[in-house]
Amino acid sequence: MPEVWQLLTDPLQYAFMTRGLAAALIVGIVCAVPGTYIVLRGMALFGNALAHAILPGVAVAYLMGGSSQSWLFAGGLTAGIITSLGIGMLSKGSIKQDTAVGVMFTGMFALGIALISTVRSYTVDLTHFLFGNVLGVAASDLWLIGIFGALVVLTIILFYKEFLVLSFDPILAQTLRLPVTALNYLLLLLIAVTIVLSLQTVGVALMSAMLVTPAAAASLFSRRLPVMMALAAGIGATSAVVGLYLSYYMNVASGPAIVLVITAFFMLAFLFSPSQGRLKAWLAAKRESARA
Amino acid sequence: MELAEKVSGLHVPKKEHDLSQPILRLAGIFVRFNGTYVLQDISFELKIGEHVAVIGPNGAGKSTLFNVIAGVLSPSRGNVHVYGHTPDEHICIAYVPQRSEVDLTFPVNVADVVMMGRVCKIGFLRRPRRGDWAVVHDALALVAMTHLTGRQIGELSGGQQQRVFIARALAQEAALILLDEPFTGLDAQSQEGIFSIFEKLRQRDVTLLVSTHDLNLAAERFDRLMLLNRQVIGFGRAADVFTPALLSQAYRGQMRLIDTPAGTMVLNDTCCDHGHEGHHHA
Repeated sequence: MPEVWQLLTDPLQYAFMTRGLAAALIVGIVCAVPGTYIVLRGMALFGNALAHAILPGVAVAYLMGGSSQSWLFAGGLTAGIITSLGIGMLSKGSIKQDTAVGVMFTGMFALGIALISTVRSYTVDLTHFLFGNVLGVAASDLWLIGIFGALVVLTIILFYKEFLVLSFDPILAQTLRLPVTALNYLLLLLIAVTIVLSLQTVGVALMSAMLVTPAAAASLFSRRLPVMMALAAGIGATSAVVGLYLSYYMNVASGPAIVLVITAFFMLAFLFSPSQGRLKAWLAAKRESARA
Repeated sequence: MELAEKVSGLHVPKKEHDLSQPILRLAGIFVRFNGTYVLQDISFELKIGEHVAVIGPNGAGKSTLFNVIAGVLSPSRGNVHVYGHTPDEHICIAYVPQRSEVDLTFPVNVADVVMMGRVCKIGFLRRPRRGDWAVVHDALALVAMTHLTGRQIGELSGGQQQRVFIARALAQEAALILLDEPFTGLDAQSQEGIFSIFEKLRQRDVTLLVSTHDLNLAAERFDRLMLLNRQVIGFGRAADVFTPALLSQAYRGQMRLIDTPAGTMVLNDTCCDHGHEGHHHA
């Protein structure tokens, strides 16, 4: 046993590892929560596009303010909001929404790469933005990630009923006279904030996996939304930690390592859930009818 | 309505019902999509507690009509009044969607779905209180679904799902319920189950507007029928609406009428193969 213990504690002697683990853990949890709505509402492509589209905002902030996290945060968020509004405006006319998403996403992404390519250390920086650099997380970044992550989760808990109705039956939301447009924009804003705060952990190119895959795996096992969210958060958090340890010991990049672990979780869930899922449903139904 | 007021959740639409006004009145409703009129000059009134069937071929504009009445879609021209006010001032109108339009894999159980009808009554930033659970339980009892409250919605039969959605409308405390093709895909026994619920709703003075492809059910089980094909072609009792002239005007090529010694026979309502409403017969 001591060997195992040492395997687990050995990386923790480095401050950058403990900070990285904390950041990955928070991001793993936070991404999975709005990710649940992304999966349930069929917004996976949109989430992926939004992640790529924040790049020019991040690039501008980077060129102006260096690698200060709060600048990158503000820049990314601005680009995310502009993209969301742009997609909304484009798809109002005769252009289909997925076309609008495709146009905006690649356009913004190209702009971001073009901006970053003006710097001499181009490739290193670009790699960090694309695939993350979780071991470069500073203590102040950790605060930013923690506070905004908590804000995202708290908002989703506070508006739980409203988001549930909006996602399950938009027409009901309208007949109940809920502020549908405001709630939709709030959800997009929460997704944009989540993406920006996860930037350093996995990068824009791999973001989609953090948002979508844990929720997709959880959906195979859950019959109620709060369960699905909790399960997705658990899968996200576990994958983040396991991925980071793997990255440390196998000497692979941290972002891809985390994403590979998440994907492995999904594959396992996909292989083993149908029977288990049905069995669970059947048992629950039995219990329910026995109680009645 | 001020956005801030809406977001703060203090504002739940609650216009006093003007009971001297009909529960529903449409006056000169036109709806235009891409240059063509989907609904033309629709005008009618409903009385409190009556059950009205809306029939017509595919693409007749039944779903559009329901969306206008529910306040989900603004008409290009004309007015909708619910007890004398516009529909968006009310939360007493419930829309029971076609089952095919609902994501039945969504992780919600029966109680969750019915509680959704109470979201506005509960208010922002609050959780359901004991009174809300009592309303949900009553609604489920009325549709005889209390024994399945924990089931995921997709695990129910079609008839049971329909009953859950009606319970949700009751939890919403709706005075007017719009049901879009509730009988589609149900066997005769499940249909009877729905009609026995309709009779209970009658005792509560709930007004029903139900779209259906089943002309027999429409004729036998409803107080009045509306024959719709972009316009109101006929509106009244079955005997007055089911005339060969009106039926062929409404259905044009989609139906064949044969005169037999026993009366007019209707041959296959050839619905479902085209049109944008996407109805499917089981």
